[in-house]
Amino acid sequence: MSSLKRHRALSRIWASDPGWKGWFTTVNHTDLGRMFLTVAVFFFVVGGVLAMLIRAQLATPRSAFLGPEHYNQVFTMHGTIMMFLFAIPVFEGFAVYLLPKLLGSRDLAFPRLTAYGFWCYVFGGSMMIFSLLWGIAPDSGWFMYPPLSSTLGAPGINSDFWLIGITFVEISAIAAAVEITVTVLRYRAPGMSLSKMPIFAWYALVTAVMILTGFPPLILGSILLELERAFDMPFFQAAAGGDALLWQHLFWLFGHPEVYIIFLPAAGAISTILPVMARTGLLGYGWIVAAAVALGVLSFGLWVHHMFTTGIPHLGLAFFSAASTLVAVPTAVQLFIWIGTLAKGAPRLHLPMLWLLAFFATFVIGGLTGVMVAIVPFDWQVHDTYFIVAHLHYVLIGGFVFPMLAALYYWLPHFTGRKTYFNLGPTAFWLVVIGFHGTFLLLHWAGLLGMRRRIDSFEPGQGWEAINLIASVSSFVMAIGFALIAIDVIVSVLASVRGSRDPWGGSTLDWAMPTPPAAYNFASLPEVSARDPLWADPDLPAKIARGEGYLGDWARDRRETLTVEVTTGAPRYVVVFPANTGFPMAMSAVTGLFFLGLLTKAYWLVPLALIGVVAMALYWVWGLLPRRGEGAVPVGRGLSLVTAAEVADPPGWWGSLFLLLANGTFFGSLLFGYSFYWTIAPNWPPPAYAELSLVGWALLALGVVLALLGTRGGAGAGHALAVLGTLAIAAVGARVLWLVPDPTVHAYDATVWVLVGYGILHQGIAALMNGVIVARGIAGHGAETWQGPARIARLWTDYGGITAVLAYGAAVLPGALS
Amino acid sequence: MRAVLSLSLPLTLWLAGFSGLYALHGLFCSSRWVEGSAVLWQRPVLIGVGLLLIGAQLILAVALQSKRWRAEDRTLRRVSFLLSLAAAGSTVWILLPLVLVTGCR
Amino acid sequence: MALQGCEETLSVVHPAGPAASAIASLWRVLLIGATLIFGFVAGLIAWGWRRPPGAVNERGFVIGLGFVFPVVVLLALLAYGLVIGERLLPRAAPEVVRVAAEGRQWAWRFSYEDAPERETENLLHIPAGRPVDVAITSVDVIHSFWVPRLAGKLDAVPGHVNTLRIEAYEPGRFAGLGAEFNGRGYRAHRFEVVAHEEAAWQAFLRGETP
Repeated sequence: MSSLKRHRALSRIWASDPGWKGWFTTVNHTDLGRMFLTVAVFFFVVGGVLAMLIRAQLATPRSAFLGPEHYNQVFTMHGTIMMFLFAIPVFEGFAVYLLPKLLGSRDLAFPRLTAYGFWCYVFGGSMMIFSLLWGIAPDSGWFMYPPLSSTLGAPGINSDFWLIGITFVEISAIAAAVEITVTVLRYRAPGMSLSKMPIFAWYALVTAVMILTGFPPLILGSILLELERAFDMPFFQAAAGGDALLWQHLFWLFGHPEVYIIFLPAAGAISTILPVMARTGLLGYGWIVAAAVALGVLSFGLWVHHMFTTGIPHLGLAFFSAASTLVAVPTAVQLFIWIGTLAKGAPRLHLPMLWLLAFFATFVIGGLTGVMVAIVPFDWQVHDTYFIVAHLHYVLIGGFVFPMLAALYYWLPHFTGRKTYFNLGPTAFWLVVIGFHGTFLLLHWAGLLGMRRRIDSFEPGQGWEAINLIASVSSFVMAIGFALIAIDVIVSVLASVRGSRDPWGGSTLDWAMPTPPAAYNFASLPEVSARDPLWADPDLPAKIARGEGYLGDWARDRRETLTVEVTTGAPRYVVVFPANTGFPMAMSAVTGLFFLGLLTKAYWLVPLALIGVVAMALYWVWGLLPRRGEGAVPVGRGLSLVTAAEVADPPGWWGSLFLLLANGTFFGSLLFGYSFYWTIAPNWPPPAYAELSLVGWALLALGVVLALLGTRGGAGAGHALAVLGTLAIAAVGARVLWLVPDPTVHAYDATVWVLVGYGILHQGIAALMNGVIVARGIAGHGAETWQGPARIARLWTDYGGITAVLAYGAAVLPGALS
Repeated sequence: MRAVLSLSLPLTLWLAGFSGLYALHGLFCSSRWVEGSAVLWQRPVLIGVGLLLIGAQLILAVALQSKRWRAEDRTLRRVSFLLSLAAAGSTVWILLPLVLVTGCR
Repeated sequence: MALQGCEETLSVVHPAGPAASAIASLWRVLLIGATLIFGFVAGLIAWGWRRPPGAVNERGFVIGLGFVFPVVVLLALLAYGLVIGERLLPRAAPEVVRVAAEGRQWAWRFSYEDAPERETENLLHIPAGRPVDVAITSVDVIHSFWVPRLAGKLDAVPGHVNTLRIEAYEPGRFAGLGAEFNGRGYRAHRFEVVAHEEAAWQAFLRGETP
């Protein structure tokens, strides 16, 4: 078989549908990655236009360009769009496009989930744009502090767009994070052990786990605030036992890791690009892995530094001041490793390297001002001033946008297969960098002169006029620079000549394929034994194309890739991927109806949409379940492996594991909130407590035993018992709710509803899963394919049982104690 | 997976300990711990918890390098050790406030 | 006491009281330190760029620069910051004057422990040269009480009372700001602090308008 014949056959198997239809039915990561990035750039432009409006308004004192009602929407949406609809999706798009190629796989772990996440992003983002165009956008600041953002300060629909729309978009982030985690751990080229992975894969793994543990507190907070706004459940109202500070804790438990979620992928790009530009290896791979992991975990201990002025005692603040200074250490380790790599190598001033130099200049300043505001007394003066605005733009633009632009120019030849057409790059670079510093450097000083953030205008005579005028003019210079970059990229994509396959001399597998990439990535999956496979074996691309790797033949006429052992990279089993389908988009649309019903208060729509989503999910799962195993299949190079249908830990089990990590963080945040109420909130204890009788406890125990044992009993009958167990647990929950009839009375009652509601919801999920296993047995599916699905059901049933006991226990414990 | 766990456990223990210390401090302050001229019991308790955490970090570090639980891959074993050191050092670092700062003002 | 010029009425770097002075000194240290470190890193990059290719001292970069250098700097900085923070706390003392500030959309109401019948709106009277503890709360959304030339800011959170110590060295007028975004009237959510010398303060407490 010739390489060309192989290419044609694999392309036919893997290609997305042609034309418009392809956009709606694609499950291919290359296409979806490009789609993510394109939509993210669109949102960047929208956010950028909003920034231009801000700077136009603030160019002169007492400007009448925008009144406060509109200005408040403009700056809120600027931050919201940049953080949620641009920064995170750029990481998603970038990781979705690049990871399988870097890792030597043919796609991500869950292709239809990628598509589902993309459409949730598009539909949720569209909700936000709609609100902006109709002048009903959220207007309480991008972190939406209640009571200002709640019914007291924002009685209209504006805040609901944020709470509901952003939660919808976050489905996309969680989905991508689960996928990235499972893909990096299991979907690699055979022989690529964890310690031989490209360094970007480590960063992506850390970032993905951070998303799984960082987003749930925000999702919880959004749900609580929306429940307060829609149903008067007083989570953040002090008079009824709530506390506005709880929102701040939940938000910043998300918000601080969020900025490291944004920074780490950029650091991963730098760790990948800089050595190639310097024509040498990265100085300390192991050190960088340690630093990335350290940064990821340490960043979860900083959140209160956004709350230094809220009245928390000094000792509490001091813990967070210490942790916030500490986090500079792993950052410095990475920084000096990069500089050491430059020193070790022979760096060339190509366009990606220019942007990396801009990163150094800008991010170091941002990091230094960050250390400044980690010192509590200094923050007491500059908090909520333009000093902070300047700091955050230095770290976000310097630490994310500039490295992403380096990545854009570095991987552009890969996306397009072409050289750049004009030489606009350097001009655009200088316009953006000079424009950026002109805009934000002096704003530090404006903050020190007392200019608060978020003011819609300012009086003359406070020494701010010149600074703001310079900032506004420079911001337009920066905008022109970005426009030139856009033109550069668009023209290159459309018009320029074909370039060489590997213009930079890269070392990783992404450069071992034809560019632009084929739908199948690799004609055969290579055996890898070095960290820099292309430098170790420059003939590797040809060998891959000749089919000398694994899965180089297409006799089974379907989409296949390999999974490997987590640590060693030894090949484990074959995964069969789905064909093109519009199902994920349809399911995302039905999910959207659920959110739309909540938003428009058309509450009849909500249960209908929920049933629709559940029905579609069951249909999806049923289609996934294999009836019969096919035994070991040959995969090339003399090896035969079973498929995912016949293993005890299929991809779905791993996905469930990490989804439950996110879920567990959500539940943990709920327990945290509950404890917070008990210790800090004013107007506690509540007037009355929920109780559970001995009968209730007995029924709960019975339910838990049935559920947990049933899933371990083997075959259908056990799972049927497990269903009964989950129903019993749910019934106990309903009984507790019966005793707490009004969740609007006190935050305790409201929290009990959320705790018990969470428990009941998870019994429903577990019941459905066990029901599917029972149905499977009735439908006569083979015994050899039973293990995987049963273990997945077991995971969820165990989780549901444990959390139900904790949730009900938390609800009734105070009553039992008093 | 053992390798992944050996990388994530040390600093996760730090995070749990840090959060626990902060929560304990919050509990003490909400029950009106006010320091006057006398040194009350709350500060020594917090310092004691801190020392226990450092001890736990050291035990974890040794365990993660022991033949039974260590990562199979030598590079990752080294990274795990670095992270164990970092976690222990981080625990010491965040105890500094207990030495320099008053209780609940 | 006349101010130099309007530019400084809200300026953090033109302190008029002990708390703001301590923080302004802190700022100077931070600025000098940051400039030196930035210069060092820039110089290092320039040196690294021009250095001919060849092995470098990996441990030097990773442990020396990446670890030891930041730890030393940050340890000193953290200790300095914690000590300053301690000094700013409202500790009991015989000459402390207690007032209360109630934030609302979009005004401030002040009351005085030493003159319970008096309540002023958007103008806070304090004695100069004595520490004043301001008990801050809110009746609606979250606000923040900030007089940049006297001290840092502290939030007004509904259901909580936060106490901020401010002190003016000399009699005079000082601009105050609501410093937490609170909606449409945020820009104009301002107040003034007037520090009286002792006789005028006593007059104020008696009910006269000094």
